[in-house]
Amino acid sequence: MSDVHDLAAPYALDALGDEERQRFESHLHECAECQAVVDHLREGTVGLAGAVAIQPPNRLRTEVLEAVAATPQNTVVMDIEQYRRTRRNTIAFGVAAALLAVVATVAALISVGDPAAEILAAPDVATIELTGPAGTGRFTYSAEAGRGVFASESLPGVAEGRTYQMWLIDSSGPSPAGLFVPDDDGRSIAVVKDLMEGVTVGITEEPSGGSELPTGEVLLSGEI
Amino acid sequence: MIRAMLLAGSPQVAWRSFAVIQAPVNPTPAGARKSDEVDRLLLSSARGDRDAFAAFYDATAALVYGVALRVVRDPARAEEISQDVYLDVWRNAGRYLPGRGSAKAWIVTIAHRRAVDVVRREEASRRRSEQAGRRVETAHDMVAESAEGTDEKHRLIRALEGLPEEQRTAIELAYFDGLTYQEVADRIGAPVGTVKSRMHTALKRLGYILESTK
Repeated sequence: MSDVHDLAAPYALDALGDEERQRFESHLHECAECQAVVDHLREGTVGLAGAVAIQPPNRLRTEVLEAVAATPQNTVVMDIEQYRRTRRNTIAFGVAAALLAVVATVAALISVGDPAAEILAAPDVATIELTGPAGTGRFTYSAEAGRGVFASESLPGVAEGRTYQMWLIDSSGPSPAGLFVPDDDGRSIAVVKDLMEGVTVGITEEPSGGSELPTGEVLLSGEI
Repeated sequence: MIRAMLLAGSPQVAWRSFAVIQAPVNPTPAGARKSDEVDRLLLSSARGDRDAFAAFYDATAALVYGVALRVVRDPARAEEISQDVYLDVWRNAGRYLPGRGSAKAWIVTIAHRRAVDVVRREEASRRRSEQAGRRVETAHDMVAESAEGTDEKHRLIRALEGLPEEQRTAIELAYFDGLTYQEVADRIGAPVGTVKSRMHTALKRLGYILESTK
């Protein structure tokens, strides 16, 4: 019982001294198993908190909501590599390789905020490669969450008055699924909603504002 | 046939390059938790939804304030801590990952950590000398203390009471009194390894009870 893995429960209870806490947190970055155990045990601390729950004075609610109204939110910048290491049961789900491929594509950083986090946190997250005349791109999605993120570094910039458009194609034909243009570093990132099993994801270049039906050549596509 | 429909739906020649193929989607793995309403409120808060945040506050304030008060034992400071916690959560709501655990566990973790750090940083020596002579407070005392307890609270107190005495003592001394596991071991005169495994078993059981009676 002197293994570092034994510290998951004391850590979940905040019962480690400063030094030991720091060491265990470094370990957590490397050990997906321990992180999963900590995540699991923390659900138990909700029981402890619930046993001492007390309604705060009403003024606290007023103060908090007033402060929130005047406080901007931080943009989330997620390091996928870091996330992959700590993610629950990563290896069991067999997506480590897929996420690594995403890292290679978007240079380890993605900053599209919450939708991407939601997809990556979904238990059924998976990645497919989109291919075509424009090169390659990765599409990471969760069928359960109904969302996906497209990421590529191979799409060229678009001319003034033009945009890239995502499409979801099923047996009834293509539906528009969002517009994007590459950023200054040549990275393209787009979040797709209303994703369903068995659809094909495609990308075309269209006039600014997008089209109701695709008018351009299919630059990248892949089936999920 | 699907390809024919596709082409019928769109006259563009370019669409010939698409073919719709039904592919199996990974099944949801066993044991993965389903997100609940409180999780969704936090996810909406992360997108700047202040109404969702207000509802999230209402669903979690008693937990956050209760934990802070139990650890710092000073209503004014517990309020201060709670306010800091909610502002922090509002700013960084986008960091919450529902696949990793519940929103309640997330905010309770933040609140408890902050309360314990406040106590340890500023009052460590004083508190510890005071506590040396104090008896271990039990779940029974908590019921007696709280006339305003809700059904949920009483249910959780009963769940705590249902744990074997030595397990309950280990997690209560650590979580409510802010002791490290070594300090807990000293206090109850048990080996540190025993204390760690009691903590592990107790938390697992509490989590299981919470999940199974949802």
